[in-house]
Amino acid sequence: MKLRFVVALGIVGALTLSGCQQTLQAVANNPNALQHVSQIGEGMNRKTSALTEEQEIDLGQQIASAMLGARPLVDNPAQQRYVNSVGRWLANQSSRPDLPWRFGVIDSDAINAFAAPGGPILITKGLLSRLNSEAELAGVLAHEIAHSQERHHVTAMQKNEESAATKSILAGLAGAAIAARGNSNARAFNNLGGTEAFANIVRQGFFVAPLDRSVEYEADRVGLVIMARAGYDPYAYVNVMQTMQQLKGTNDSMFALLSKTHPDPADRIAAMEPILTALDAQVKSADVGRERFLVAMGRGGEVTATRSTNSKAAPSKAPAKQPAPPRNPTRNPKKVDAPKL
Amino acid sequence: MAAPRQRPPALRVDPRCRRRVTRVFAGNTLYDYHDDSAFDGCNPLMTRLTHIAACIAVATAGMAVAQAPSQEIGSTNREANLLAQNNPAAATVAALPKGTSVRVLERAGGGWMRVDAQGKIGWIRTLAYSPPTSVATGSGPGVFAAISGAQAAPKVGIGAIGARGLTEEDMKNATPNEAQLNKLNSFAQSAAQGDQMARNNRLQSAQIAFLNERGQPIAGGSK
Repeated sequence: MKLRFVVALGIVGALTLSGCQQTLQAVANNPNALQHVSQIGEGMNRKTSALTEEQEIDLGQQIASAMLGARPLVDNPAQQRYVNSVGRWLANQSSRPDLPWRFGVIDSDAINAFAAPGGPILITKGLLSRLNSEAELAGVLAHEIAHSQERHHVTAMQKNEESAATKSILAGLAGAAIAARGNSNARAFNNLGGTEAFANIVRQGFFVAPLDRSVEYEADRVGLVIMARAGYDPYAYVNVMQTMQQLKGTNDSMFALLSKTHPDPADRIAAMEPILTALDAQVKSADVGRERFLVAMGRGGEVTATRSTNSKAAPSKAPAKQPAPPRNPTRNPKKVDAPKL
Repeated sequence: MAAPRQRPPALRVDPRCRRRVTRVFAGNTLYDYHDDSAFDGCNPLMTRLTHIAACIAVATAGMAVAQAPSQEIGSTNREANLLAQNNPAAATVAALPKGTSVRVLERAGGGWMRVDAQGKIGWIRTLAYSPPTSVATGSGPGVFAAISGAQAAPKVGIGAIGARGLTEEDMKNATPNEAQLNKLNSFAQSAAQGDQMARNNRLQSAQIAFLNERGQPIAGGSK
């Protein structure tokens, strides 16, 4: 695929030339291309739109490939499809609904979730096991969708272009581009180091270096609105944060990376209060989806009445509206429905 | 002060068909989920009648639920009124000073939680509650079982055997996996499929603008 080659050039050249082929030629014909690439990187932090959406998508695919090399997907197609359906519905509410959104549950007990640029979002099975409703899952996914919507990671890469790690990555990409000169075939580019150079983005800390704290708060704000737009109870995300708050107190090694890369959960909850207050007036109906989540997770045995199925439930004396009954009450006692995707 | 909620009778099932039965509350109705194992030799009618009796008892007890007592004990992070219902206009059961120890009984939606505040039962806002932060090192099922009401979280804490993390070291050694990437892409849902899922589950979208730090709409932030 030619696109990968173009992405590399898009990064190293920051699209200083009008066309990708011209960029290719410029790099390939420059005997001091590596140095040249480092120099032109200086302007990248002022060119947050330097990466086209097409290139951003391809970059994200490569980063996701590297992450999946670190931990593969959980081998549970039904669960993967369920998470994708929830994620896709949320992404439809974002300001970039046309990105190729993909959601994957990866086989790790760590508690974390990741957004690669341009659409891929990964959540660990460890984090998934800590969640208790579809709305809580929606909160986690919406936060990651917000990162991709706002291009937070792309911006961070461009801001950090002076770092040794970024220079090394740029040099690797440029090296592959030069090695593949005269050959616009993506496979040649990949075989000559392009794939490895992309993998270095992950290896050198793409998901380890924390984003700006302000960016995490912004993702929380955007995520809450995406949740509310999608009809989920935004307060479910507070439950998630309170779970995180408790995890922080455990010194759990599985929580270490997330804890390192995100603000304190208590501070995040405090920052959400004005958003939640504003949403109170706008959210007319909100869903928690506890039962269908637990069934989808194979945790149907946990279905109890400990959490309401309808967040906007009126006081117990006079409920304004009865929530829909579960799809498989006693009248059909043999089987619990799978969630409707 | 609100009367303590009465616990419903234990679900009694014909011993010959002692299959796993899960109770779900929706609205004022108690539903029972059965697993799909065979009901050989049991008496479904008697089982059903037992369930109906349980439902009536539960309804008269004011939507009480059957569950193990929660062990999640946190505290109020501000002055908070303990209310008789999950409604800001409900009667106040007690005024709780900041730092009052409360045991979580239920996390309802809409930002409400039912708590036991030193013997007084009522509702507070989730935002007025801070969970316990000083718990045993490592992660066992305890604290999270309390959050979920029943869930036993996997043991993945410090010293846990067989836990697979995702550390900086793992990422440093990452090798791109195109087959896995293709698999990820194969699970993708279209926008229309996402919409369909929402319709199936009666999720309703709303037009809401993105908000700034103060909760004010951002110009152009609406879809």
